[in-house]
Amino acid sequence: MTTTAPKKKGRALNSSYEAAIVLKEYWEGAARHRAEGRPVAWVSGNVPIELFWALGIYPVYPENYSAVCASIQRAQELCEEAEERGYSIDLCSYSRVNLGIVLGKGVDHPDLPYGGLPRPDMLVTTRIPCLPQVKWWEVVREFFDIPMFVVDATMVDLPIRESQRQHYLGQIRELIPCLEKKLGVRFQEDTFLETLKLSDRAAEIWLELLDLRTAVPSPVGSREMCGNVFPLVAMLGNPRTIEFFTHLRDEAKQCVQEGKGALENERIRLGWDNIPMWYNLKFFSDVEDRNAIFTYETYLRYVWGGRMDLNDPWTAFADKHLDVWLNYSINQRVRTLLHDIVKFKLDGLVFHQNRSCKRFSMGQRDLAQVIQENLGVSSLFIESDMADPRAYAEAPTRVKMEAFLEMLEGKKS
Amino acid sequence: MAALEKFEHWYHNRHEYAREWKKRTGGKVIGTFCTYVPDEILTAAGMLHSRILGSHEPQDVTEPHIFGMFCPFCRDSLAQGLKGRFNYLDGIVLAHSCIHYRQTFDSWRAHIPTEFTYYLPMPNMVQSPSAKSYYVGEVAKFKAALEEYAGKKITDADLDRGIELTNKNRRLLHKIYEFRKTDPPKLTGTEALYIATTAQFVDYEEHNKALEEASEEVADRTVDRDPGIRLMAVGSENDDVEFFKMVESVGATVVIDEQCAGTRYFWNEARIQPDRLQTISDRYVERPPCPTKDYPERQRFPHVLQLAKDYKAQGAIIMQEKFCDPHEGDNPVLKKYLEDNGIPTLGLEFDSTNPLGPFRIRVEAFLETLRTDDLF
Repeated sequence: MTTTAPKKKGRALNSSYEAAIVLKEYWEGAARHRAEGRPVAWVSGNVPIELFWALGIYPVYPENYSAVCASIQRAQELCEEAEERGYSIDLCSYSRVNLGIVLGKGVDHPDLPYGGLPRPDMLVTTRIPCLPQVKWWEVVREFFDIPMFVVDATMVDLPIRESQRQHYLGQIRELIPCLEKKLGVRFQEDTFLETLKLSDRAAEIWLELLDLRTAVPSPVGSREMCGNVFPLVAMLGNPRTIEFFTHLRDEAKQCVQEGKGALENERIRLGWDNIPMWYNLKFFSDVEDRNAIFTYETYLRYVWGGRMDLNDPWTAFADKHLDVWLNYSINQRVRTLLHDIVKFKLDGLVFHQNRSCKRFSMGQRDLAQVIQENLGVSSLFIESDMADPRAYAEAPTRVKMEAFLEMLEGKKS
Repeated sequence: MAALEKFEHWYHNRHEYAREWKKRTGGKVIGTFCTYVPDEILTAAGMLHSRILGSHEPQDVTEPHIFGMFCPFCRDSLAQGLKGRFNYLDGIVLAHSCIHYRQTFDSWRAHIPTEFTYYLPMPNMVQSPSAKSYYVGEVAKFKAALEEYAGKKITDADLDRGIELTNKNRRLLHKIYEFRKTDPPKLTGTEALYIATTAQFVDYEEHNKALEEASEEVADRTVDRDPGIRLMAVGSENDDVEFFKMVESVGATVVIDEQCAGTRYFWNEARIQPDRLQTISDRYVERPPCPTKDYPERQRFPHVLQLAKDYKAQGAIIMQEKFCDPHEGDNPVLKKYLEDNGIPTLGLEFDSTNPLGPFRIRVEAFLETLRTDDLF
């Protein structure tokens, strides 16, 4: 093991303590749903999540479960289980953790967090985040011998082409009857549109919360916010998400109005690109000792929870799922970052070269170069992994980070 | 020059060939990323399809753009561009496949001045009922973009010519591959690699003519080498000729392949339909899939097995391009599938440059195990 368990620090927002409760409720809800004989689907990031809540199908996120395993320092042993079965160490660590569980001791082994993963009745994924997700699902599909549906999408340069939008919606029109037939549920458009409203409301509050972090000093840093994001991933369309995000937003708003920041003496503002190192969220809070704060993350802003114009709900639904960071070309990522670095008043960017997520890591070198040339904002690269701690080297990374902060402090003064 | 030697010459002198073609015809040369680019359209437009391939040489120019954790083939391809070896290209086209290629394409268009660049959003989920109707629209847009770039309409007669030339090439490649079925095989794996790979960057009329002549040459051939064990090569983008030569120097012949530098490029013809663009676009939706597009049902595995059976392969080398996650996801299951069906496998991890010494030892050991099967 090359890192240590995160050290607990106090939260800047008291509402952030609610995140663990919401997460526990979600996983307990999944187990209850399964126990009651209601349908459970394993899904992946950027699936059309609102459909599942509208149809009464519990959407279970093995990706989140892998992140949970990483956060309690269990990922490595599970990755090794998958590797022993021939799965390359170069494959996504979320998939290796999950395949380690599925092909190893099994999804309901009592040793697992939250009592294990509820068995799926069906698998649904999409090519939007990546391809390894689909290859991973193929193995799971064969293990459980259950149906699988893949929602396709090709990458976009905004604005989205009408043909891409219609292709996406065409597949949603295939997915709905497939879910009805395979899982015995019934689609009702009214219910779905209500779910979209709940989803959009949650996204609106979340984006308000993120925008509050443009304030100087910033009310809350990345460590807390990465812990808070889960309902935006898995629970869009569930009213509990609105409740939780409202608490966060209102508290952050009050902090900003009072001029109260997460740090007493904020001097350096940082942005983060890529999925966090879930086994080492402490990385974010360690910089606070040097009066630096991570106040912006592409992962929290452009991967989950885009807004929808509900006057044209189906178009908005398609666009929301296509218009995400992981589906952007490098050119689109450049345009977005140049805008946000100014908006969030960032002094520096930290790019996580994530061995497990090439889709997220695509183009980071070119992004850093453009940012430096256009805005004079410097970047730091950290080579690591989102769930497999073997890819993280604590000492050299800390030294690099220290040097980066010193350089930014020098620029400031 | 004997017809068969032409392919080897083209393989090693691909840049000179393209420059000479451009000078001779005055046509545009378009670099293609991925075998999913519809070469029919480029041929119809009077342009040369010129597949961007690596060089299998060490390089140090891509690190400012692509991380080392991206596949070596894509990095090698970008390196060729950054070094100016493709400076005759008028344009580049990417058909959507994997993220590694997308990174290469985006970095290429950002850092290498190129007149025409086009991203063709080829669907991933080719098994979806909506894939064909979607893709034909995208192919139509690609055609329109080429027309605008060239300032010239692509007529129905042009499309017919593009379809006919590419289909003929596929038929001729099939025909010459038949000589790999014989015992002993009349064509080595190395020769087949030269032949199949050059189809991706040589003018189809010339390639077809050379194929016709080569088929006659091969038909009359007397094989004077011991073919040894019959092997299959399975992988992604593996045109490492030196590796094939090494394998065929230690008591084996590669009799069939399932990879982009081989059968996956040419295996199916375009089915002629009333709508010419549908004819072209359907061909790519229907072709033997790359792992990036093979779901929810695995259609590739039975195809690989059928090839192994048809060409009487006694074993398969699974060539895993390092960091190629589509194949990394498939290979543990494919290995078991082939072995359960009586095809032993050897897995090797490939980079741009490969350690032939250690590979030789592993291949020899693999062949030894196959010979042992014969003994008992």
